[in-house]
Amino acid sequence: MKIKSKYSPGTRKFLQYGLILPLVLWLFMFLIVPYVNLLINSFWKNGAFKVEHTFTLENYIKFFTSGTGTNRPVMVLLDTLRISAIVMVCSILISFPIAYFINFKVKKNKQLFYMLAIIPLWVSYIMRAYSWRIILGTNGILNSFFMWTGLTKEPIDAFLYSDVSVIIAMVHIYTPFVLMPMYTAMEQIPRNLLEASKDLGCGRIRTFFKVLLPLTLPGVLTGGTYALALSMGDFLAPSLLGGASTSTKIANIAQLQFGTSNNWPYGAAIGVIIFVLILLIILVMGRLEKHFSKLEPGKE
Amino acid sequence: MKKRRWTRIAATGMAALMVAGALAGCGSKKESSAASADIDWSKTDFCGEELNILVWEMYGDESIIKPFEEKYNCKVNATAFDSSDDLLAKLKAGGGDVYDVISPSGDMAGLVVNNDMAEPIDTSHISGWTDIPDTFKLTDMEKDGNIYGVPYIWGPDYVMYNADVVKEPIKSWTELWDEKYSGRIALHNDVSNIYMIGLIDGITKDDPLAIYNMSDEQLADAQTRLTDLNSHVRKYWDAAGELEDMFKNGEVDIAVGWPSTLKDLQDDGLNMGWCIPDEGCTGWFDRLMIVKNSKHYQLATLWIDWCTSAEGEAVSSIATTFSISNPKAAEYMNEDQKAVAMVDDMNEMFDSINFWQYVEKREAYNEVWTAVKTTK
Repeated sequence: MKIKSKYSPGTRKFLQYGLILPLVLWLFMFLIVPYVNLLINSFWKNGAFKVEHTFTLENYIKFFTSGTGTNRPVMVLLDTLRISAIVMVCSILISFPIAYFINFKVKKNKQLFYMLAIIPLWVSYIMRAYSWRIILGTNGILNSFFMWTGLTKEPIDAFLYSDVSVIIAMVHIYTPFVLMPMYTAMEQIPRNLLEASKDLGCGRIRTFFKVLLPLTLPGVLTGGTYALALSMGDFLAPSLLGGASTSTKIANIAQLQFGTSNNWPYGAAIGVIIFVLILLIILVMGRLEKHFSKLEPGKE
Repeated sequence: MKKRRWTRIAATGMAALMVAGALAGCGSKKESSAASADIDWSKTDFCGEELNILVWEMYGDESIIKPFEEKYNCKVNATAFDSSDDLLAKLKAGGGDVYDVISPSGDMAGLVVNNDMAEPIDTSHISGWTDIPDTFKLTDMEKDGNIYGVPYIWGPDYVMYNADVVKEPIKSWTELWDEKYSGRIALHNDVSNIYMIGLIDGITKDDPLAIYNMSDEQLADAQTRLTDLNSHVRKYWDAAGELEDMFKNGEVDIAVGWPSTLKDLQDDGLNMGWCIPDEGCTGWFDRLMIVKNSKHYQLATLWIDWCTSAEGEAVSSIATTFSISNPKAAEYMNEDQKAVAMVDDMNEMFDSINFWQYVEKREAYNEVWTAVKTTK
């Protein structure tokens, strides 16, 4: 009331819009400008030492037509998508039981368990990726263990410097991102819904599939999207843990254009393509999420 | 009340600034650029001025930097690059605003000069200039009568192996395709692997520089053959330290690498051997250059002067195990150090090393290399 009397309507309007100004500026500076810049650059020509400001579509044409067989950029993109999908599924499969356990089985100190689950985020990325070299290496912990138990006679090379190690590291790194939304989704399920389901004669399994799972799905989809999008853009895990032919994913090719290959416009074009692809995936996931969050439990 | 607090804060701040100024005791810093003719070359106190060098991994070693920092009261910040293309990318992104001195190899130096990315060097202030043999002063360092680079250090990209596993040095590069090494090889993540194919095919017989100017068919052939080798390669290493770790962890038995890695591994007690296959190998001759529009031209010149002086070369060679370009450096080295740097076998080494040159079709080479790494 006091404020109303203090400011004229004009000033009030200014205050209203003025207060969102920092946010708008922030988004403009750190989201809109970089993306527009990326988009514009993807249509320039690459010169010997600098970008030539001549409009061209050749960067996009190059992406879709260059190479043969598996080394075509499109194939690398699909391969990356495959790896990312595996990472997404694995992180969901790991996160779901953890989220379920903390939400429904832990009675005391829920926060503590939750913290324990997302503590890997406190360790630097490089350190987490590097530690897998020690675990998965030829003389690493895993191989030593297998040989000690007599399961294998020779160390298994395929653990490290292969798609396997890249996937393992990314699952490890991105699982907390999947767990967080999933945990929140489960936390918000009213307990009486589960009890009602039981009262009405549903067993544990039916309650799980008819009540718990549909209500958790939005969280699963959000988390899954995080894992997918983040692993699509990850170039560090492949280059640190990938082998001769598995260390160059689509993000690495993009990164190479800004480094050794020195073709910024082409790199920008790849960036735009990855961006559009991720955007499409997010759109589809968003639709699905909306669809499922509308579902009422027990219906059908 | 509020006002008084602000005054006090301001006063404290100003006092602190004054104390800091008094401690530094150097007054305002004047940046020296090449344009200013009135450089005082007798100056030895640079009042903590910072020199930024962009160099190959080992050239930023503490033992090379320390004496210089103490002599001129300055600070040297070393940024490492891990391949020639990486240097170009970093230089392109930063230029003279960020870096003062670079150490390009023969494949990049000419490009840097021709694209006007370097400052001319006043060789009268490079004390080692007259000691360095003329044969080392390659013509790609000259343009319009100006000198843009000073020969610094050289070395081979040779084969190193774990002598416990690999009993005999390999005679030919083609042995890398042998099944027995499958999954036990590490190669440099660099276009230089393409040169190797050229060496195997002997295209250097008529023209030693042919491997730096391969035809499209030769490149396509190199791509096929390197792709075949993919399944034998455990990993393409990016940094020398990475290769070292791979040998230590028993991930690989044989690799293409630099003498510094070999030395480090031997120091750690590994039984290592090295060899140059009969076809010869490639190598690099690095130059020190000043980046165009460097903000610390004088200090940059002094850095090059130090690095290429007899003592500086010796210190650099000892730190990196690479070879010297100033023969007088041998006076500062003991027999072991001379042996490691192959000081007495220089002529023999020069016969078997094909030094990296400017590759005109670098983009094509890079594309072949990316294609190799993405073919399954």
